[in-house]
Amino acid sequence: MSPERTEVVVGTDILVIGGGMAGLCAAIKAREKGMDITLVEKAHAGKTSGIQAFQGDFQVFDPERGHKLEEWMEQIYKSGEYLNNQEWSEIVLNESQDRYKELVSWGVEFYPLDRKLPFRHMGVMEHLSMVTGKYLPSLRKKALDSGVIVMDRIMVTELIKQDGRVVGAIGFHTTSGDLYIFQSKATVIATGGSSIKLGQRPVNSWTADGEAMAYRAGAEITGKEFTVAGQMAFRPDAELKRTDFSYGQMAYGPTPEHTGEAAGDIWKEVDALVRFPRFGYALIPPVRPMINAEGEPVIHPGWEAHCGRIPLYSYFESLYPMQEEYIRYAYRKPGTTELDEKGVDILKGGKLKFTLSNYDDLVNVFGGAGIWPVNKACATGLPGLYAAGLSCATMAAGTVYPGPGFGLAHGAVTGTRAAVDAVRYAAESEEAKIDAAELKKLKKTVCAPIDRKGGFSPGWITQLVQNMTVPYFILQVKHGERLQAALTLMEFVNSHLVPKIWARDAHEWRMAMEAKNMALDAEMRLRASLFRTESRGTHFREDYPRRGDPEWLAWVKLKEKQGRMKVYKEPIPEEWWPDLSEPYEKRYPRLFPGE
Amino acid sequence: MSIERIDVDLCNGCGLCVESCPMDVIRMDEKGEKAVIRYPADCMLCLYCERVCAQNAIYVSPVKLVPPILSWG
Repeated sequence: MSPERTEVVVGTDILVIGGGMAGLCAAIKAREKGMDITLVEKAHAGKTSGIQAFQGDFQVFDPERGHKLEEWMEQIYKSGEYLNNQEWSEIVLNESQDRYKELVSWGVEFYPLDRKLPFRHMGVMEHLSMVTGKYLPSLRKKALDSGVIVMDRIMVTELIKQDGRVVGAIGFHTTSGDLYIFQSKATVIATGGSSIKLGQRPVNSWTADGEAMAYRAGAEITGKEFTVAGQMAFRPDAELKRTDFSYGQMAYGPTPEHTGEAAGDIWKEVDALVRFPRFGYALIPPVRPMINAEGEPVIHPGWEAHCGRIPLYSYFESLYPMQEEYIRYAYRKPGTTELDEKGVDILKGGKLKFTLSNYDDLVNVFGGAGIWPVNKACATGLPGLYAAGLSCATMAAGTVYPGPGFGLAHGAVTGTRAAVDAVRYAAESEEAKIDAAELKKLKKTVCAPIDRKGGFSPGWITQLVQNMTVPYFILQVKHGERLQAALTLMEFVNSHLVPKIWARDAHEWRMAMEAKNMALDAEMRLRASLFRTESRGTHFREDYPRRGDPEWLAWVKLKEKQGRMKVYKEPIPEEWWPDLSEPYEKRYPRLFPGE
Repeated sequence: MSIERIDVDLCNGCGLCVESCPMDVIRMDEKGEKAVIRYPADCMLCLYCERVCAQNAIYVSPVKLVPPILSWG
């Protein structure tokens, strides 16, 4: 280790890692109980969270608005193909209104209830929308005002354990390169989701950091075989309908509010540019249907690719006002691309054919992947460690994402629950004394990329991970042989290349740690996908195209044991099973290719 | 797939774009007077910088390239 590196030691009652919805809610809530709270964020808390790439929708279950719990629950577990933890699904719904009211009291602005919002319904479920671009800054302000210490641009990479208990974390400043050692009585991981840095949605900062550090510390991980926008099964014999188009959450189809006039006015107020970053979903499915190279409708993009009927197109004959506004903005400066001309064309009343070069950006299901909570307080099984938001695999969502607003409601609910129990745990705990030898070892691990004199660049490792997981035939149309092949290579990346990543400066140090976490995440996805020898929801195995009830009414878990990644099943309680006396087609109206 | 330019003449050094960048692509220059593109390879086209810039000094290229091996062709 270079002798001149500055070390900063921070003591706090509760350490919150991550400055998005779950992290900020946890910090504010815990601070209310009088605890000292430090929140660290690798970018800028309240401004840069991956969730900013999404609409700011927040699901609020409200019986006074005629919402019926059984109906909502049925929709969630049917679209989730019965892999939901129904207790957690119910908790998220039941507590969503309290969290909504609390957010409002903390200064978060919502669009009023009586306004007609597009995408307001998904099946029976309904959501509200926060004013995009404003809600996280409001929460940051609330956190600072309440006395939470917020530290930006600090990348936390490892948890510190003492006698089996998590007593802090270690990280570094991504500009100065200073090392930060946090000593805490309780720690809440709220680091968001996991992506493969494709930029298809701008969530490149979601690199499974929390899951990776928790896994390395001995926590259980689950839900890695499913993705939020993965391909759903289709019904080959049925007449194709708009509602069949491929997106998981479209399983129940858009309501009339989704289309036409109702989608009008509000978009002028909504900041469409945050909601739909350039070439984001304003222009690609699921918002628009797809056609294949032969002009036929597409309901399973991966399968179309497998059959060679690519490229796939999104086809626009008309635009919502929001989309038009968006395109006007995106093309407002003269450019030289073909897309510029197309963009101009559609504004003149023409048609736009938008070519898709890939489909699934492999983001794990919100509320359905990450660190396994051992109880309803978001505890992880490692004393002193909690997980919240997208890092917490409550399995409230099942194999697909249930619909807009669920992720943020889940974030607020789990952030709050984690905070409440972390406060209790911290109050009962003695301040831990960190063992010097253990700390020295961790420092060496964290500083390895920056202390090395040469090695593999983070960019190259990232590219390798992408190349081994993104092509459609690995994690979209899966097959045991191909998964095994990819897994063999990923194991090599993890065992041989990752230990030799080289960071030339503090920025690259972050990228190196992100690449390391992504490589681990990729191995988890491959191993979980290989283990689940059935198809379900967004997990499609070409060699096992049917759901395997009841054998696979189970969650797939991953855990490190003696330096190896172990994979095993956790059966779902029988009372949550579908009615197995019903015919298969009734339980699963959607079929997979090859069934 | 990246931020293309920050106009030096228009930039007033407010630092909002630096703060807004999730990927740490933009930094202030050595004197702390102007924002500069330091790590364009990590840009993910989120446009947050372009949006927060009151001076309209930032331009993010609309071209998003998926490397051929990851795309369908």
